[in-house]
Amino acid sequence: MILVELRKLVRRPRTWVTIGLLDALPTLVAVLLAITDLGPSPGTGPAFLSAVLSDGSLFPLAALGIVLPLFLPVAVAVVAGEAIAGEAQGGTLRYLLVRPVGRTRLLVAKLVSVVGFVVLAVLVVAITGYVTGALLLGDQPVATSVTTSVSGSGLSQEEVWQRTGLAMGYVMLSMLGVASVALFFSTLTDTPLSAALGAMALLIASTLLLTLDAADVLAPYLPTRYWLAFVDLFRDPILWRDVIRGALQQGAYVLVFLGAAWANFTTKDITS
Amino acid sequence: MTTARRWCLVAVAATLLVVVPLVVSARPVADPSLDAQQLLARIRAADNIAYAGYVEAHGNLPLPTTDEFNSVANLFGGSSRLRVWWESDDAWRVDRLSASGETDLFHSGSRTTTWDYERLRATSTLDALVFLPRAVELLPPRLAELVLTDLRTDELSRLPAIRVAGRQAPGLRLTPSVPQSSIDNIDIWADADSGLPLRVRIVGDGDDSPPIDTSFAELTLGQPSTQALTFDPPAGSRPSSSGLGSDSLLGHIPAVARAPQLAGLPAIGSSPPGLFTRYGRGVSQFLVLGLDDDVAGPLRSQLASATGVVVNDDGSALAAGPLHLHLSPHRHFEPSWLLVGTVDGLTLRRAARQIDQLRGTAAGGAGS
Repeated sequence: MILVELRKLVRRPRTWVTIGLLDALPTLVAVLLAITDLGPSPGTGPAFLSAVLSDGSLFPLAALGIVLPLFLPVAVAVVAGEAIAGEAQGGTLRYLLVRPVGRTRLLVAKLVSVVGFVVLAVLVVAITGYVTGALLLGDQPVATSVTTSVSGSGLSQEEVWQRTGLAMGYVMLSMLGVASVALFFSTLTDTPLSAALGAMALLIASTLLLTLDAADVLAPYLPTRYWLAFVDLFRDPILWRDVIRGALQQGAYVLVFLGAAWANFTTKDITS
Repeated sequence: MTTARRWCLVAVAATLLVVVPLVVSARPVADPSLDAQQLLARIRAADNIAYAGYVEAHGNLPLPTTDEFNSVANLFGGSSRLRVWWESDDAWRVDRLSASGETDLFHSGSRTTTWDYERLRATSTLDALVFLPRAVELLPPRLAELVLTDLRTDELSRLPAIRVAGRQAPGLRLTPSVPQSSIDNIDIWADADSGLPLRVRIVGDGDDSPPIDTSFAELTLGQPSTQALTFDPPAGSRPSSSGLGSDSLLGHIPAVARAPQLAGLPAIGSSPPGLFTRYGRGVSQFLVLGLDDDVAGPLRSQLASATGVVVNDDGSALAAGPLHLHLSPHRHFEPSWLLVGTVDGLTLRRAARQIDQLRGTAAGGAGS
């Protein structure tokens, strides 16, 4: 079942169009930076973008920083929102369930498929970021230069690779909460768009509440609170505090919303 | 399993995930049997403790922003996340973290290096005699040291212990007895075992929320690693150095005439000669600074457009929480006077008038 869903994901043109669109923005940013040599002012712009002009090896992280706040979660919400509701809208859900397939198993397979999409998207964005960074950005050859950590110490290329890998893993993990919420909404409606919009509404509300001091008490529970903690992996020493909190929080979102999706879906009347 | 049971299961899991951390953090804390003086002694004895940790500081002081004061306005007007490695007063590091970078202070001996990641700039400076507050001043031990000076025993009382950074922290309340003070109280919670201040909260007269509240979220006692305290400017960065601290503002101001008393508060003379004069006692103090036009002009313009500023013949006055500020009006060929401190606005206004009278007397004496 899981393999079937993964194969479906990879073969679907829409998957690659979405990833291509996701990838276009950081690539455009790299080209613009290379042409103008103008970085963002300190304190503005996505993480690492001010540093890529002198060190292109950081561009995969800058690219993730560009897509993480909006484009990646929107893509994940669309893909996850489509998972069950898309089948219902297309009239294929009841045929799927006619086969000897448990509904819980179908839900898990759909979640794994969404995770597969996240992994693919993050890998493509990071690899494209590495190539464009190496070709267009940086004053020195990527392979020979020492990368400066956020704290000013030098990082060897091996350390940069390790930390970039951790950052990519963390970004993938950060999307699990969105995927679970969208999957839950997907079990509530027969319209994929409604499910995706529901998940996006939660993310927009979370982002808005994080800017309010009055909502500080809610901050640890908001799904976007720890997304940018991947920057902490490039401090020296690494600041694990928010990275661990972010990972645990995403685990909690998966547990609750996947549980809610399961509670709703397993006894839902399938009419389409 | 029925639908209702499934939903109950999900509801219980969600409730546990929210409630368990709250219950764990709210569990009662044993209060050690220490009176206020004993706790004060313990805090003062913790002066040489080495530690490393993570601090969250919240400032609520709406200070005016100018080129010179911008860093202070940012520091005390918003939230800061700080990492600290403290070996001694001569060797420490404080990182102020942001979402996309950090600004670090590495202190060694009499020199401080400031590393700004987003500008790729390392600036090494000799410590100045006078400098504007930096991130290090928001550390609870540092802030506690600053406020627990020149005390009277009747100004101190005990607060119940709370848990800070997972540690038992008995509290101490300082209630200033100076009538002109704009500070209602300052609460300090210190580690029961080591005496290290873990949280400091300053509350002004009539404040709904504390203008400054700084607290450890994580703490490890013991010597920090040498590696954490060492900084070498990275290749590609723009290193620079200067003789005075980059935040040093007052080195070029004209000397001020020092009265032994202003607005009923005595001068306390621990400032570098000729730079400024301090009046008051303990945490209820104000400074009198002479500013040249390069500094006073932009500050005056900023104050003119700031909300809550009162402008009249005596000058411009602003209250930012318990911090009050008074800037004298512009006069040709004379320095401007900035009075700033934790006393009420009326006291600063009286002091400003007294300075004018003293200057008038001095000018009249010189003329005759």
